[in-house]
Amino acid sequence: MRAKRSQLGLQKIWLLAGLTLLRANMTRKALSAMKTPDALACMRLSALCAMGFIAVPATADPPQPDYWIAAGQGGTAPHLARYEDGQGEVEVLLASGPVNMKDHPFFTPLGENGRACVTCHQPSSGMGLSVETIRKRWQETQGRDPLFAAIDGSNCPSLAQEKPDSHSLLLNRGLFRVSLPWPRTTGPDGTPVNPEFTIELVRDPTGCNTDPQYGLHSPDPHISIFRRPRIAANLKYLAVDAGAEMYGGVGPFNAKRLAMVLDRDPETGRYMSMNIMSDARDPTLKIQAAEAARDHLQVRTALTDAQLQQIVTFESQIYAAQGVDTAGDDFSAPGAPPALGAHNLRDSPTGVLGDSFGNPAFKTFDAWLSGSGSARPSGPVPARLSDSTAARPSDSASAPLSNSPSARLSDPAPTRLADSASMSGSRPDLNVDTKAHAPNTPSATPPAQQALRESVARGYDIFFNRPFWIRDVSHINTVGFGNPAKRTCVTCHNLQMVGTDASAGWGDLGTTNEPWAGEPLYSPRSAIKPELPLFKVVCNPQARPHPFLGRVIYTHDPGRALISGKCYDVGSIVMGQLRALAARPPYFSNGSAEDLRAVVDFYDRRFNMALTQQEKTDLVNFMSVL
Amino acid sequence: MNRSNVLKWLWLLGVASATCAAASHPPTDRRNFITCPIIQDTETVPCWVADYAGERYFLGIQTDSGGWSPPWLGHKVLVEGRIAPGPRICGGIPLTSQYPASNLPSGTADGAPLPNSPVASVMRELDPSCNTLLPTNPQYHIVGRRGPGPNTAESALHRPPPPPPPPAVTPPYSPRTFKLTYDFDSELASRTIGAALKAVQYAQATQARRITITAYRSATLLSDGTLAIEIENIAQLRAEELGSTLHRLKIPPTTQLLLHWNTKPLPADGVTDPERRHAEILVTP
Repeated sequence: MRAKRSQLGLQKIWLLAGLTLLRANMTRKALSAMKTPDALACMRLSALCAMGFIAVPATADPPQPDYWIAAGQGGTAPHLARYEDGQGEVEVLLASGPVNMKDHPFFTPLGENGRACVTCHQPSSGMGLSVETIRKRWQETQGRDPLFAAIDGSNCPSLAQEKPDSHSLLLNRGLFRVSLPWPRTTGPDGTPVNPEFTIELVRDPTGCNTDPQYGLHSPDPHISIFRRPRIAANLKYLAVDAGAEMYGGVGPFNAKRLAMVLDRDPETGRYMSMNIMSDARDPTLKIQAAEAARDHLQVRTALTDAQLQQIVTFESQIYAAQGVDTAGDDFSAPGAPPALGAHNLRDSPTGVLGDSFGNPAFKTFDAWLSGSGSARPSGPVPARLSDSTAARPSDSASAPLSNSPSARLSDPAPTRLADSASMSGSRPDLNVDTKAHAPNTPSATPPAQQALRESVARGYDIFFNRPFWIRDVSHINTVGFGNPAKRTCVTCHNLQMVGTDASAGWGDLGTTNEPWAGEPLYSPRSAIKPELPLFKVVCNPQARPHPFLGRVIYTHDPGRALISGKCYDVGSIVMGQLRALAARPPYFSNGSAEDLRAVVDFYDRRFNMALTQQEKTDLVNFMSVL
Repeated sequence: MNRSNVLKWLWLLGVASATCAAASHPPTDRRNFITCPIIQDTETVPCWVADYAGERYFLGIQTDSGGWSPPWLGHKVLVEGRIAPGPRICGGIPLTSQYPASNLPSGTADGAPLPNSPVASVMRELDPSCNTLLPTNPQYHIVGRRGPGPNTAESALHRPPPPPPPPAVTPPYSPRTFKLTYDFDSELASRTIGAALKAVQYAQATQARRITITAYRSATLLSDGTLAIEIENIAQLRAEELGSTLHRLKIPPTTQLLLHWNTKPLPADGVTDPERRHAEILVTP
């Protein structure tokens, strides 16, 4: 009773304080003044307090910052929430409705280090974790948040944890340490693995691979590589039964023709799509949750089956996507392009091959074209998406799943939970400064907003239609297309709605292998030093070599090869989904692309695409609304 | 004589017999050769061609995964085919084979259907000298079943149907053999791996006592009369890879799995060599 009265009293105090702060804020004169980070933060805090914001814990602890859900804070996660992300607002939809976070295993610290699943899967980062969020959290807690736990939130647990330098990869590139046993002796299903290669350490800026306790030559030898967390959302597209829900998954074999048998769900015996992890090591969400609890949360005793099931059930109904763009287009408004927004992710079917004019990867953006076509790039324009898809009656992708449990909830007005002041901004290239959410009809659209819409549509056209030479990508050029192949982005990013590969989607694009990885070089005149470890992989003479790098490969992360032991898998990484991108830079598994422009620049360099500046801008704008 | 000496003698015998076989040549319409592939762009999909003995040959066009597997720049290719009737395609004399890669036509050249492509095995090791990409030639009019962009085919709209259930197996059970064929120097039976699934299904249905894998090393009689012999341990690699595949497909726990491999290259005739690069799975109920 006493505790309850105390909580109610605190709530009243917060409410009063919030109203006072809100009134004080509202009397301030200029909107421009409120755009300063401090004023915005003050406004947010006061408004949230005044509303009795549901995520504010009714305890004696101070309220958590609005962009951050702390492990164990309690409160309720709303059905639909939006957060500013620098390109508008990202939205997170819980299809089954609001969730009480108190004692929920996804939100509860279950292990020794005080972390919960939510620590690295924050709604404000589209259920991933942006580096801006990480840095902000460091500043606010002086590095004492469980996020920075020594085990993987630092470059190596043996380093002095109070120093920012010991967490440089997390703070600079959003990378967590992933420690895997090496040499590997068994695969995920227990079958023996005999690695076809040895790993030599070329350099080790973190010191962890040479560490006497954690390194490659320690009594319990492990390799430390550094990877970005993947988003815990839209998982119905990725964690699927390969036979039932995956395009081309008609049997136990990987559709990519390597005569490879897919991993199974040990509980059901079904073959899985192997698209959850960047190295495909966990075939099911349940196995992933158990492993993450052990390795990232440092649980002492394994989670119970009920806890794991609760986590999987929760994860499986989260949808994250951009909800509003910088021009104010609200993707839940009538007439918005049918792939945008979290509700469309919820309502679309899985396993649809989007490398097709009949079911294009991100459906159509025709709603955003003015109709004149004048905004398209000059020169020959390939077949437009609208030519064959706009009103196709057999387009199953646009059929609402009326019998889906997730569709029974009507979409409420979103709860705006956060502005990240450090990530606010507009698009100077388009002179867009309006924030008003507008209807999705070209005729009623301000010119700047229409300019952004058409840029996005052009970007999608490039993504879908503009061919280039896809070259020297293992598990892409080696699976029947030939090397090189004259194709487009959607050849690989082909799973409708999320843009991953409908097959088990790993390949060596070059993001982790030299010569393409792009880590800085040492120079006595440069303060920028390489940050990632560099390994020399030497494949044995009997092994099938890496198809384009041979038997000696320099890599920052051997990727799938650390699980399969195969030389031809060195540097292969499972494609990540292309949703909620704006909320979670940097990109690629090793955080090597600091923003979406850097992603486009990588592809332009890697494949000699000869993109114009306008085309690059269009591609960035397209990706930023996903 | 110890075991290694026996193996050495067997190896020498194999080489000798292979050399004897090389005394002949393939039939005159055959073209079997190893060379760098060349990619010739067109206004639609690119063609793959190759030069041999002063002549250019057309191999095929870029396809989707699942059909003919085009070569790779960065590697030499072993071409095994015969001259197809008809005019040049993409500047090359068309080669063909009796092995259709798909039951669908891959496209047309100047309105005429393209022939089945020859067998093209990407050689295992890198060869940076294979790096010729010819720019678009507007005189070559190729229409591919699949263009350079997204798929226009109606079939792409629908997920492929699930495979039919295996036929019911009734006693009396008899031993059955399942055959897989391979590209040259490859242990991955990408095109014929379905036979492994059928073998496991048969073993499961019969609760087989034993599965015996026997893998072979082979050779190809080239047009110049020489032999291309697969790497020495390819039969072992095939047997082990196939054994691993059967394990992952879940053979019955009581079934004994035996692996055999034959390192002596099979004789080559320059015609049926692609079929001789094979492994057999014998399921004994």
